[in-house]
Amino acid sequence: MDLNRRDFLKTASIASAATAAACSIDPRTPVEHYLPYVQVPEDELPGTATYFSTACGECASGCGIVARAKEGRVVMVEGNPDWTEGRGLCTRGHFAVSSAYGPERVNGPTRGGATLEWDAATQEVVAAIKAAQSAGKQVAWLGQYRTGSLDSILSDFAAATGLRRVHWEALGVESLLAATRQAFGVSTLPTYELAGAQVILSFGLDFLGTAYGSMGMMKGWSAAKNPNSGGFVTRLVCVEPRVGITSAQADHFLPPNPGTELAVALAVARIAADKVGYANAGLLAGVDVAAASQLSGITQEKLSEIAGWITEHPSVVLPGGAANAGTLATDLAVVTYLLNDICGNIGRSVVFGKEQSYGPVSSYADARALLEDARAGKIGVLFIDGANPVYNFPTSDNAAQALDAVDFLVQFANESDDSTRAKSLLLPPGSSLEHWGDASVTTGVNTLQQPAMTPLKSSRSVGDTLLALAKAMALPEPVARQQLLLIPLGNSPTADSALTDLPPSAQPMGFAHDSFRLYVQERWKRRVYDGNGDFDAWWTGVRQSGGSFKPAAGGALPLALATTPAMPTAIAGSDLALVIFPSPTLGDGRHANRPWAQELADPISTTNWTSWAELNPKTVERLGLGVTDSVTVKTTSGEITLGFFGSPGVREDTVAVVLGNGHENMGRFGTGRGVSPMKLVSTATDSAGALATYTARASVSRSDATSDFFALIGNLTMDGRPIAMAVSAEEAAAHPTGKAGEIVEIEEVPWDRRLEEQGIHDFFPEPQHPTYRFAMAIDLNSCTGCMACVAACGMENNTPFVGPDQSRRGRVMSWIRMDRFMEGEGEYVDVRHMPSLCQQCSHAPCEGVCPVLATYHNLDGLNAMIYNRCVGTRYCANNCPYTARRFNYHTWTWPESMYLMLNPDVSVREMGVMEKCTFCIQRTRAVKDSWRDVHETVPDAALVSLTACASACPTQSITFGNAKDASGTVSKQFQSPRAYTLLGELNTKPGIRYLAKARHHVPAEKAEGPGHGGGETPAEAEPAEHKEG
Amino acid sequence: MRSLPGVALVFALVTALGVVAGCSTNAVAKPADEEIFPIGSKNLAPNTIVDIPMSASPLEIDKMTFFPEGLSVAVGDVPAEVITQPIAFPHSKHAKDMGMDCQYCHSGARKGQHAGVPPTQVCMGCHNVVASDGRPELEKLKAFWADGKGDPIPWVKVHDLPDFVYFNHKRHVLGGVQCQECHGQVQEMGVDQRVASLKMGWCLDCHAQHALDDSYGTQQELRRSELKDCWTCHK
Repeated sequence: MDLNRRDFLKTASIASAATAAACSIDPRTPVEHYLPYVQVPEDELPGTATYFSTACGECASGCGIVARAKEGRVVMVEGNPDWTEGRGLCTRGHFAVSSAYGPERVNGPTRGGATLEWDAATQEVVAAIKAAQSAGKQVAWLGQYRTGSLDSILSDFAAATGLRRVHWEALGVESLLAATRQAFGVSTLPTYELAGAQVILSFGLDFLGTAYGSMGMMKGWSAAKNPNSGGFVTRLVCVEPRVGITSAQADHFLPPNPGTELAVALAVARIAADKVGYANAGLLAGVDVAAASQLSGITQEKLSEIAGWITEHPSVVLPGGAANAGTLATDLAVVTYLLNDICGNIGRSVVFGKEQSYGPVSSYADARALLEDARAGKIGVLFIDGANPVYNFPTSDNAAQALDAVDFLVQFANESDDSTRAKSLLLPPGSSLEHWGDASVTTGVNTLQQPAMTPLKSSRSVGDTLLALAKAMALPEPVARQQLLLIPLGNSPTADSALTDLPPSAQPMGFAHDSFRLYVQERWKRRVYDGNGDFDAWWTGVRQSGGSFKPAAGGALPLALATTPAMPTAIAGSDLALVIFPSPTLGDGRHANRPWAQELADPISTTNWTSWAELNPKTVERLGLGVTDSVTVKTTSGEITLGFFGSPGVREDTVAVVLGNGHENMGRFGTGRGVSPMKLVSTATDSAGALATYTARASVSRSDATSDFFALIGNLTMDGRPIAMAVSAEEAAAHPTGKAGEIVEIEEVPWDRRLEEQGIHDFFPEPQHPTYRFAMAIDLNSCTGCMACVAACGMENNTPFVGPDQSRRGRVMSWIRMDRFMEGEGEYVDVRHMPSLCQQCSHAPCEGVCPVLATYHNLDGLNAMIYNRCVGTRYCANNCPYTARRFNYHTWTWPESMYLMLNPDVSVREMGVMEKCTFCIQRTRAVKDSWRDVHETVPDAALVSLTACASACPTQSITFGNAKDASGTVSKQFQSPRAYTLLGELNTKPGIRYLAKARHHVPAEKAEGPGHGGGETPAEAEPAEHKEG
Repeated sequence: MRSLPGVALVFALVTALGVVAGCSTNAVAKPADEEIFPIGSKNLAPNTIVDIPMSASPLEIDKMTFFPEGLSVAVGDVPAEVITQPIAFPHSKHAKDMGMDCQYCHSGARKGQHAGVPPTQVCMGCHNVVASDGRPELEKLKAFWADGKGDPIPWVKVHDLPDFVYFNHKRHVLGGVQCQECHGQVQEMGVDQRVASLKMGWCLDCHAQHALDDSYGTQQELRRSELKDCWTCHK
């Protein structure tokens, strides 16, 4: 046996090479077919994207979006720049694509796994409605908020059939609406104009996260935080129990004693009223500031200081939202309106006229009454439209039992969920990217939802189903609405009044339309179209721009309060006060079956795919918890066991539990992840009937169960290094314009002082960038850590979702990581978010170590990555100081239907290959290509929001551009006094500069420039007291 | 077992020769003298096209037909098997005999990334009024059309680039590259056959040496460098 393995391989490879050279039939290349269209759709050009302006259907806000379709399938959604709030899209909006391709979508009407024909299903529903009516039972509707045409057709349907409508959402606005009714006598919500507000006082509104209207408020926030726009940096004061995504931006985080936010509001109102000489100061005469201070635990000096800020500067006071849902939520919201009135904000930053309406809004109490009637056997048919009562109701309500008592259940859902019972008839409404619809939330702003692709599965929009039902039931056309015309006495011989028909715009629409598309069109013709010019031309324009965006002018309303709410009492008990907060990605739990929603790390705890509790590190210590321990949280309503995160942003006497996971039936991605906090919640409500989740105390104890909590960003602190930098707001405001380096140090530091003495600053030659040096500026000042960039990057670049197990092995593939640092405690707890991606270095440490030249610096300044050249040594990842590279430990797969959402412009990588941010090379290449046609360099305007992350950013914190263009946006940002390069001392010359956050009250040592490590030895630094699982 | 390497080598050579002998050639006939394609009037290599002996290997054909002297040919070749299509579409009939422009059917070539295979609708634009009696290929076409309700014709991809390659027809057509430079003398072919290796070296040869159009002016050198950037084609 002289032939060793090596020789044999050599010989064999010669043999195969000879074969290959002789006749190359590449065995790896399968025969592929090219299937052309039979009849080509209008304007379809294979390989070229088609863009549809439409409306987002992921929540009732109906934001304007643009859907990008390639070869007939939508692969990406982005904000519609024509829309009132401009470009940018919230994190959850991005999930529209993955909802459309959900692998569990049913194909046509389904019951218990069996599929029905649409006609048969319609007949069944009609028969059930008739049976219910003849049996004297009710036909009811339990659904999400609906505006626009669907609200309109539901109104007519309800009028004709006696349908009982309940529109309830777990993160709803019922207490805010009740407060507006009490304070102003209107049933709409004011729009908050944050742009000019120098002080924002928030009592828990998650206006940078899950709150309704957050897209507009994020735009305003971005302007208010920008020292260049008004020469000031807004001061955010948050009075709420937990640091969440919004309060992470707070300059002053003031959690009062649990349940006493109202006392703070009243006391601040009293002091403010005295300061400004408020006309109705008598309203607040009974407020005892000293007692409020005593009750809330916030000093009188601090209360006076807050009152001073909001009265002396343009301000806005935001009412408590879902994060502050106590039994006094409505009262608190009323007092915030009073505060706004005292500060003169009504009509300035709290705007009526251009106001928001979410259609009929019911309270939890209404929804509960409906389920009680169901339990009592009074409901014959129940339609469930986008609601999930079994998950969102307190577990003690046993909503499942109530649903079982309904004779006939109809659920408008594409996939079964917790509320699907064995007898539920699923009528799939399809994706919002497949059907017609509209939304009308802000006065004068109407977004049109139009199909961007043919339905993936047999589905009918809710509107179409209602039309079909109305036709099958032969519902009478609604009678014309009339108005009473009063005629002065004596002018008419026969009557002193007469009935006349209202104009068509006020008439009910009826059910005669052949499809919901025509219904929507007719409604727009009557209600939105202004009658000028040809309607068809106008309608074409609307379909191109995605709606009609003419927001009404803002105005004021007089505050009409007779009394002010009484002083609250703190939540009784000695245990920890329980706070339930919504997950920024899962919302109220409706997105739990979206793999991206699960994969995105929570911006505060940085965990994914599970639930967790948040405890103050001191509480953790007191309870003797170790990092892998779980905690059992127990209230009188129930108990749950889950992992915990030690967050300095929670009071020591408070425990916060996340809402969104813990589903029993939510598809393959959502079922059985984490636990539902609704087990802990009692059925207490506030005065508006809203569910009060912040009312109880919970005992927290160590559990023997293993925790599945894991922080993807393991470190809370920057360990004294200048990573996500902050400067004082005063200094930033004093330098609205200026030169780079004025506030923070930007210089790259020579790595070797001996070379510096010789005047040599670089070991490597400077790369040449003849035309472009693609670059990015990230303004940490307006960045909220919302994760929209991460979501958009994943969609655009086909990065796989890896699931909980692989995430916990550090194999998250997302090209952007949202770094989170959380230092300090108490009022000045300092949370900083930082989107961290490939810095596209000019002197990239990764490039020199690649043995096969799979990564190199290209002419456009990009650090290129050639996948099929990569052999997977991972040297580059080891050498990257920014941890920007991701290695494919597996060939990741998607569920079958989700392959359709992959972006065909981007390679799908496989096992053994390194990957990282490319600055969306497919987009830069495409835009360069179109400008090459006219032989021009790509202008700044075409680049500024080009990459997926920049396009997605709701606060426009990310700007992209060509650093060679001195007048470009990015070049200007690069010259900001707040600009710095990350780890500049490594002299990597990144293509990204960060703009330091401007914060009121920056601890002195944190405001230093990147410097040279600060001079301290690491031993002097405090060891990180961080608990992670 | 000392002799095993020798045995293996002999085996390899025999195999290779056998395969060569079995390979059918994609012989391409001499093109007509007249210009057929107005857009493709400046053929890169018209003078190098020669009559090809049937015994030539595909490698030689590649070299002989499409590359003037000085251009190297990457290792790797055209497929050995003759590709058959669901309809034996005669390119010569359309492009040569009738003088139709390539882009009448492949209309995406100047506009977008893919030149595109025409939708059946485009075929029927003419074949509606062309008698199909007794012409089986046209009967097949009409069956596929089925009054606009038929199935797509499952053409076999002849030029199939790997999925990680970005190739934009528009850029090449607007840059003055002839269809025939990559696709061969399609107007002489019946069913289209691939004549180029489509390997990276083959692409790069052109990117390094093909004449640039005049619009680059003083930027010629820069453009040349860009053309050799990996991220020009890899995605």
